[in-house]
Amino acid sequence: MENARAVLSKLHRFEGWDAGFLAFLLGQVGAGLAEDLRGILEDRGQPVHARRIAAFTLVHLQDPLSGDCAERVLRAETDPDILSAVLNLLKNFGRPAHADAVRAACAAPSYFVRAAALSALGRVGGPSDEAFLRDFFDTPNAWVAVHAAEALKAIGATTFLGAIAGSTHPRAALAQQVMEAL
Amino acid sequence: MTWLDAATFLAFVYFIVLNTSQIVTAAFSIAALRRHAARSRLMRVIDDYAMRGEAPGITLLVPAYNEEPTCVEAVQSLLTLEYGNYEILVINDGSKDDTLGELARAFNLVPAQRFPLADLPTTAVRAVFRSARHPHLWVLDKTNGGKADALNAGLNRCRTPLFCAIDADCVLERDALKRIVRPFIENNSTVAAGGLVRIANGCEFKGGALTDVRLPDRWLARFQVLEYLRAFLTGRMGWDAMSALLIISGAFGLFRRSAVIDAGGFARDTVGEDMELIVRLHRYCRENRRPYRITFLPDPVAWTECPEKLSGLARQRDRWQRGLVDSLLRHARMLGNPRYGPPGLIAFPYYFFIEALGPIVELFGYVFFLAALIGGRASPAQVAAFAFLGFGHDGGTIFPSVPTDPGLRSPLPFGLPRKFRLSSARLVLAVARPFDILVSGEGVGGHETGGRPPSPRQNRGGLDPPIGIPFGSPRAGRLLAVFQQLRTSKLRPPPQRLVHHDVDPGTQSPSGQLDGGGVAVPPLRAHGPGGRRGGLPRALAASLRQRALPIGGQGGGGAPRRRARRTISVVWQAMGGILPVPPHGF
Repeated sequence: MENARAVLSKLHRFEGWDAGFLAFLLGQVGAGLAEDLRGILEDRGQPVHARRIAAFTLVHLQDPLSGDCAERVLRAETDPDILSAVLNLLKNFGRPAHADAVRAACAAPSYFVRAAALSALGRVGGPSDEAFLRDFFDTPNAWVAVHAAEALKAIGATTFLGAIAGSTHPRAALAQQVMEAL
Repeated sequence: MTWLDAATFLAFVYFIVLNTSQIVTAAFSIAALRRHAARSRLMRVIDDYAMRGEAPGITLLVPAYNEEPTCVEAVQSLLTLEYGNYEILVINDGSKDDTLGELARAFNLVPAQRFPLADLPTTAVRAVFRSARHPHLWVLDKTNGGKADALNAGLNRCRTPLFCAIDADCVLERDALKRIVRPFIENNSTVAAGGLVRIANGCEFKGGALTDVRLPDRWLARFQVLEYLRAFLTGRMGWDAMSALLIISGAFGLFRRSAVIDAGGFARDTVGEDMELIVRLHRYCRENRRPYRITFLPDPVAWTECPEKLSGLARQRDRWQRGLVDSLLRHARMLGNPRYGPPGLIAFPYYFFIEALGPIVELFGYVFFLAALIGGRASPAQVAAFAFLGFGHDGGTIFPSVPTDPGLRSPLPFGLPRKFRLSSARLVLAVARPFDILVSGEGVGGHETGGRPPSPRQNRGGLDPPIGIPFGSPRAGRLLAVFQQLRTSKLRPPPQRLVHHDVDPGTQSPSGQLDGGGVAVPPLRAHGPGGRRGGLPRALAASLRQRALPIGGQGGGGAPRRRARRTISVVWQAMGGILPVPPHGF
């Protein structure tokens, strides 16, 4: 643990590395690191890369407390790299109480943040989000559309997807693809 | 001096330049192989990561045209690869035979949907199928458009951050993916990595896996075995060490999807789409000031059939030569241009003057020298020099490609016993052997496919538990070993922050990486200042070394002095590849 903490203090030196790999390594240490990682994630003085690694490691550690921490960061941050990382955290540990913050992130300028937000909304949202998600299904960006379709399926909007899949809608193939992946 | 003397003199100069270039690349490859060996312990940790489903997903793009006799076996081979997170996408490029039918029967293909995430232009896609038996096996059926077109069609439907382009007649060694993915794990800026391609003629395969490595029966193929080893291990390894690699074989290469899509995908109007793509990636990244790395690895291995008849060899070489010339002409502005760094300053002139013009110069060189010899205008010294430069040098560079072994009676190809069994790792790393083992005391990575079982030292499979560090599990032990090294080290921060955004709905890793699919350009963001290099543990130092080259800038049109300074800087940094990592910092 002591050694792992020493690494945490030097995370910024691993910027060239794949963040997922470092999270994988840190995740091997165990849940004892979770509190430190949440601290790094919320610390605005930490480099972006270090905060991303912290977010990814918390996913590895299956830390249930990180949902609330992620929501606070989501509301306070504007950096797209951090936003996408915490949205991924919310996708795993988010609760319906976090849905408002996630919906707000769906309007982010970066398409990959929008995609991550839609993914998270599939978990923390509910049937009432169907109309909201439908708008994103038709968005020109294919990645965002895919995530919207998956979110629609996750909230149970299969009737809508089924109707699109059986139609001549330009995104019929996408709806079929999502429906097939049951 | 007559015109004959002049022509002969030019041929001599050509041979000297050619041989010097090959010696230089060989020297660089020696250092690169040493570094590779030094990092092998850290690499094992990456292997663990790659075997889990959390590593970046890889889509194998397999264009197939009239591959009915071999397609099923090839796909079966791909299904046995050791990697935690990969898909296979076979693209049937309008085959006239029953390739699709064979695949459908063998793998129980059913119609499916695979929504395109990029819009590279291709010929029409007729249908998409998915195996009911192997959910990660997909087949795309399209009208014929050529290999590059087929790859682009696959690329449009690729939804993983990385894709691997391979030939349908290639067999990958089982650990090839987890080895070739390493540079993408340890360096976010890696956009392409090539592996070693070896000749499969004469080898035995069972169930899609290599069971016995043998030399081909025919002489023509035997010579190609050595030619490939030299070209890859001393050639591409050396170019990679100079950060000037211009070719990654179309038979086996791993790419970052977002970078390739941003650069425009594979060129459909050239026969050398593999080289053209690499040159274009260099150009695109440098012109757009994107940090990038294109690298070659000696131990991921793909096996392929080589032509055994002169006619087939001639067709293949004709295609390669046309592809080479076409790639160089398309990007001729890179030639000698400091703006393009080592690829423009070092590799381009070599490929242009030596590789592209080489066949013409060599042909006329031989003819003129023969004429001079017949005409009595060649002195014995000239004959000796010509023999050495034209032939002896080749033998000299081929010689180290053959490892010493009690079963090997002669180092020359015609002396090799037909059934000589040679372990994969030893042949693959043949060039490394003479110096690598002597210098580092440890072989470069690689794995045994036959021959002797690995020694306990080889079989340890992980880092040693550090003395005095308590740990609860072998994995924790490995991690702590790395951490202990880190704690006692001052690591050099890389110069820039680089984040790839991987939107990967099907295979998104827990890391939540998002990767742009080309629909909108994902910026490769660079932040932060560089840092000071401190004392590094050797194994980690090699991995952490960031030899970032100057990218972009005003070098192309600046004052002569600035250009010269820039040129010197680029060459100096390229040469940094051969310098060993200092044990206690600079």
